[in-house]
Amino acid sequence: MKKLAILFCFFSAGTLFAAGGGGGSIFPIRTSMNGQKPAAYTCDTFKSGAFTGQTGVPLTTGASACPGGACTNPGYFAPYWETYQFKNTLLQPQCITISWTAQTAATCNISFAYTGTGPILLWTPTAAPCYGPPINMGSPGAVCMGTNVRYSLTIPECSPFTVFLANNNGSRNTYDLNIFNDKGDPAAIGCLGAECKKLITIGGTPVPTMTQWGLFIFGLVLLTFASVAIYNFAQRASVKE
Amino acid sequence: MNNFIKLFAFVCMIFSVSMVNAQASKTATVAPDGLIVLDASTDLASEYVANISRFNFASFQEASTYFDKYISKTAGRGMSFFFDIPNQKMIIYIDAANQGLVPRKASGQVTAAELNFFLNEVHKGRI
Repeated sequence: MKKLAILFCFFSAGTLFAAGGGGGSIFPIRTSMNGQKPAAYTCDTFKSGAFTGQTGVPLTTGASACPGGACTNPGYFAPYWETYQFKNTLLQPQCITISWTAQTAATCNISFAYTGTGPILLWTPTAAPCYGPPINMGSPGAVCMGTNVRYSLTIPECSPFTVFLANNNGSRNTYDLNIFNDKGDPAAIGCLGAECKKLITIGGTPVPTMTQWGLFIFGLVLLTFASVAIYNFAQRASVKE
Repeated sequence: MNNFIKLFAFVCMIFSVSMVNAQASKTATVAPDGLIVLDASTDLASEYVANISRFNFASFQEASTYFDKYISKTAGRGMSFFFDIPNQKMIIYIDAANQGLVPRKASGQVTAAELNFFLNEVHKGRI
């Protein structure tokens, strides 16, 4: 019985470490730009479609860095497009870097991102809408993505943002999407309904708070220890009698 | 008289071909750090020639290794690089109609300035 209790303790502790205090990363998200929601993208906010005629989408003037890029809008073609929506799960602004990588360079695909979940603004010959403040916009500038491209923008605290990927001309590609924070680690982001967390900073080192899952598993471990202690106490009491 | 007209037509043809060739080729520059810049003062040309004597490449292999980041990022996408090592020249060919380096706009043609932006991004390692 004692061995069983010890085994249970090890199992509980192992589960706690595996959970990492609250869930794994959904990145990289691999898309084949075929209209199908990528398997790794577990959020339910995937959209795809096609623009026809003289419509187009804006890109930034140059490669954007935090807080965001200046928008230019000559109207870039996007006959096939898809969008991903995420949320900054920190209770503070987060500078994120959006990274797309592919094995081989296709002809021309483009990407941009913007804060919020608003609709994609489209170019028309008579008007040239751009994303402007308070919306932050990011893109690698007016370049085709090639095999590896990255750009940054700042997402306000506990706020959503949208990542746009489109085919401009020629063949579509298969890309892996990663989103990093300004230290190069995976960014603290989730689906739109994700809970926001507060980072507690001690001596300059951010300490993440325990999530609900972490608390649950921690409680389970405590319960196991308590059970073993009570069992041992009962055994000793019965031996004495 | 007939022969004179033929001779005149031939001379005109040679002259016009040489004029076309002279117009087709424009200048590109290569900075000491390897950044390639196309002449953006006029419309995009199909051919640019850059002087690469400052690098003193001894072989085609040496030159292509140095410019590999450009060659690999543009392969099959409408821009190609050739090296004339004896004359220390680099020739850049651009297929504007089929390029996949800068996105197509809803209006307008690709410009040398737009391709320079792409080359600059490649040079900085952002693409």
